[in-house]
Amino acid sequence: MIKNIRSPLVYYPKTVNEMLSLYKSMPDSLLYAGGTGILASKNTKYPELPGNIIYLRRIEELSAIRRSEGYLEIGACAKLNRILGIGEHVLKPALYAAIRNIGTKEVRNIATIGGNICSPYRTKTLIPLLSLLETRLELRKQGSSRWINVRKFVSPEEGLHEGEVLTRLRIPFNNFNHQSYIITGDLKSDYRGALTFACLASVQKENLSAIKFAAGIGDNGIFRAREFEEALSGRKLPLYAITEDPVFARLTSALKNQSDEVSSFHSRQIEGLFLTFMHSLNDML
Amino acid sequence: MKIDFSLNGKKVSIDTLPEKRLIDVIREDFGLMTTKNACYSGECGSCTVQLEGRIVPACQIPIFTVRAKRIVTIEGFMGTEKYLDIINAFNDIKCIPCPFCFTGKILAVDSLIDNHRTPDTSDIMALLSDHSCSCTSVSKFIEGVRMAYHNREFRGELLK
Repeated sequence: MIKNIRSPLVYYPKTVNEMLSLYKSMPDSLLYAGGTGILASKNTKYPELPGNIIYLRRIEELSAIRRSEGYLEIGACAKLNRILGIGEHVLKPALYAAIRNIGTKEVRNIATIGGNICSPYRTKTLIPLLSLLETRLELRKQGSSRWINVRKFVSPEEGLHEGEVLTRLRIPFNNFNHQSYIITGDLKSDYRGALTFACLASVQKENLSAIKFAAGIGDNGIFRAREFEEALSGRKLPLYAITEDPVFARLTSALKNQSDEVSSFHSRQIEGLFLTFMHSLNDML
Repeated sequence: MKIDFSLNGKKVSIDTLPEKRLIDVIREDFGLMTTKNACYSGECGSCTVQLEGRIVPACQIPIFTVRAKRIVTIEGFMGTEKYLDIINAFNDIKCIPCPFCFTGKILAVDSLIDNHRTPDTSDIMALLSDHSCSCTSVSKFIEGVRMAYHNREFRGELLK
């Protein structure tokens, strides 16, 4: 059976500059690193791929992982299991759990962090947590580069521009001593029904000095309730019967304000997951 | 497109479509049929192979990405002492995975006991959850992995 008119041409650049130059000359080409998101979505014998493929895994710079004093710098093509190999004590529990939640061990041996961030499921896996961690992304194109916050990356206006490639992530180290990361539902079979919830809190001497949380919902939406987070920060723990606290109304109103993106089902889930997290804080005292 | 790589320790070369999946190359072009092909989405674990020593789902790998790489399938792995550590353990407790998941589970067990000093129950349960076939008894499988680990430890392999 003749499947393709022309088989894809594969390019194997060895440096970032070589890759950017190729991508500039062939903007419709496919940037291929782990490819798990691409191939899993095309579960046919011969996956149809674009005419030109730029294979990124031969570029060492894109797989580098560096630790500096203030942040962890990860190349976009670093494999997920290699990142897990850094250890939970460095990545911290939420990020470790978030990465470990992606695929099977076999898949994580080829899937890359850049692929996860650029995939259509991006708001459902790492992005909500990375946005809480104030992660910055390096976007490069030939002759220029810029760093943007991961929150801006998911917006169509400020995300990837033509010819740009995600090359590095900078994840600042954090001191949140209570962390939670949960995915509800099944991303594969019920993408719209699934929800990602990440919550980070800093508790010092029975004082909730800082708390923030994010939920990944819809195709590109990240739910945050900053006013609610600010109102809770500084409160004394334990916080029993928080649903009767006037502060809790700010979460409810924030959820109502985003009712276009957050369904009532997801609103109840977010409230429930947040309350579970608060109960776990109370229980630890 | 001509692709050169190493398959079970031998240098091989194949001229095929670059987007052809590694699992199909292994089965159709090299006739290694013990590695199964079921889901094409990397979820079932039946097409697991070792790529540069790490277990990967061969259905998620187009052949153009394995240029100059080292691939070991279950057929290649069967000729090693590491395989004997595992298969003897599972034989002893009469808990052999079925032909569908055999490849994935055996290679995943090898990866687990190679990387852990002492694989605990949660590690083994995580391994089982990565493989959709539930042919083996969970408690026997856990016992088998622990026994395989001890077999390897007894051989001194883990001390190297």
